[in-house]
Amino acid sequence: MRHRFERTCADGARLLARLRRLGGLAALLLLVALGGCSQAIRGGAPTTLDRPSGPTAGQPAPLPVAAEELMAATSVAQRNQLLQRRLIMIDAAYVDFISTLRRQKTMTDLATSLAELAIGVAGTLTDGVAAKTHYAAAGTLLTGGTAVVDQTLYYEQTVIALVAAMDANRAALRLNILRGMNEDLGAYTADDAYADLQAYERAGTLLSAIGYIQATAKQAKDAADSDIRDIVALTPAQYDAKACNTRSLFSNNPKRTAASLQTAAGTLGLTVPDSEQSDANAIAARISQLNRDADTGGIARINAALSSAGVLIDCTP
Amino acid sequence: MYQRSIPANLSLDDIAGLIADEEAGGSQFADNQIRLFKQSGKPGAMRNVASFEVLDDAIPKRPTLIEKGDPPPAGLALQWTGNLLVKGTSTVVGLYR
Repeated sequence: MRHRFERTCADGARLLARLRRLGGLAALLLLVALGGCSQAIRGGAPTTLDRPSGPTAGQPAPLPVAAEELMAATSVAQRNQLLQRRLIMIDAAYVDFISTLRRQKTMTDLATSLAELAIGVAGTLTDGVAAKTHYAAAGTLLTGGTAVVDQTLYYEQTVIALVAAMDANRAALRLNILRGMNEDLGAYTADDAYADLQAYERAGTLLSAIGYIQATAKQAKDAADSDIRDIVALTPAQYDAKACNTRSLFSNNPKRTAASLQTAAGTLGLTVPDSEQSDANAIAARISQLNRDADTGGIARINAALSSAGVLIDCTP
Repeated sequence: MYQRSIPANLSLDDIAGLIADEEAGGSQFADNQIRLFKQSGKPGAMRNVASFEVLDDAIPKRPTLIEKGDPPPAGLALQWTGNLLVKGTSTVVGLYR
């Protein structure tokens, strides 16, 4: 029965390869249908709960080598040395990967790349550089490219963005490991260290970079939204004061000299760079900006500062 | 160019007053977009996000907002038309000065 099942899966894989040549969508559908061929948990990693957790007679331990090494460490110094060696190994492999990626030039049709990417994401991950170029192509779409004018240019720009994302993500995760190395064996356990190593290694993949870009882009948008302030509602008197501040800063106000504006800026706590000390227009622009951003209390303070510096004009109608 | 948000539940007159308050700083309303406005990852609400252009030594005349279909104000010129959230409803509006 098991043999028949494996044969069916092998036949399916051959059929899948054939269909990949014919069309991405059909291949993807078949891939979903063949999902039962692996022992996946709802499309995730295969279960480990039916395997022994320790070494069995005549067989190697079921854990990865790095995990075994970390489990065997008996001192902080030993654990940290293992981690340092692993970091160096991961970094060396990453640098090699990036060099290859940057050399890679692809002129294949983007649509084909994306169809194959869908299959790749669904489970046929490979270490081949060609597959990685497909992720780069998907990144082009994720960053908003809709019309491919110059595919090579897009590819190169996308690779630069993805490498930057991988670098940023790796730097953050490396910090976790370095912080953990300051902890004792009880606080930063072997499984913690192994999980961090895995995350660090995974951060050097294009798929991870795409996820990182999406997450940071969303954070940036949320932050940008929170930067947009409501318009401050003013009473007629406050409106008049704000407008009077603005008019007093107009260039046709003879009282608006660099010296008087510097005095007002000093009262308001505005820092004027050395290069602008004698530039009345530049100082006025800074105070105008402050006036635009001010709440009702701020408008009154600016009004008082301009008045005491002798800049305020008579705004009575 | 910079942006300010305008609450979605205001009347046309209130919005015109707010735009005038902002323009007293020496800028002029340029455009409005209705956006899902999020803060600190909380569920967002729709708001008006107005763009303003900084002027050189000028304060624009107070704007008058008219809902599309209403008679235009006499003696004023149409400067902008677009969508605004007025009393919670997306409304096509003309801005006259």
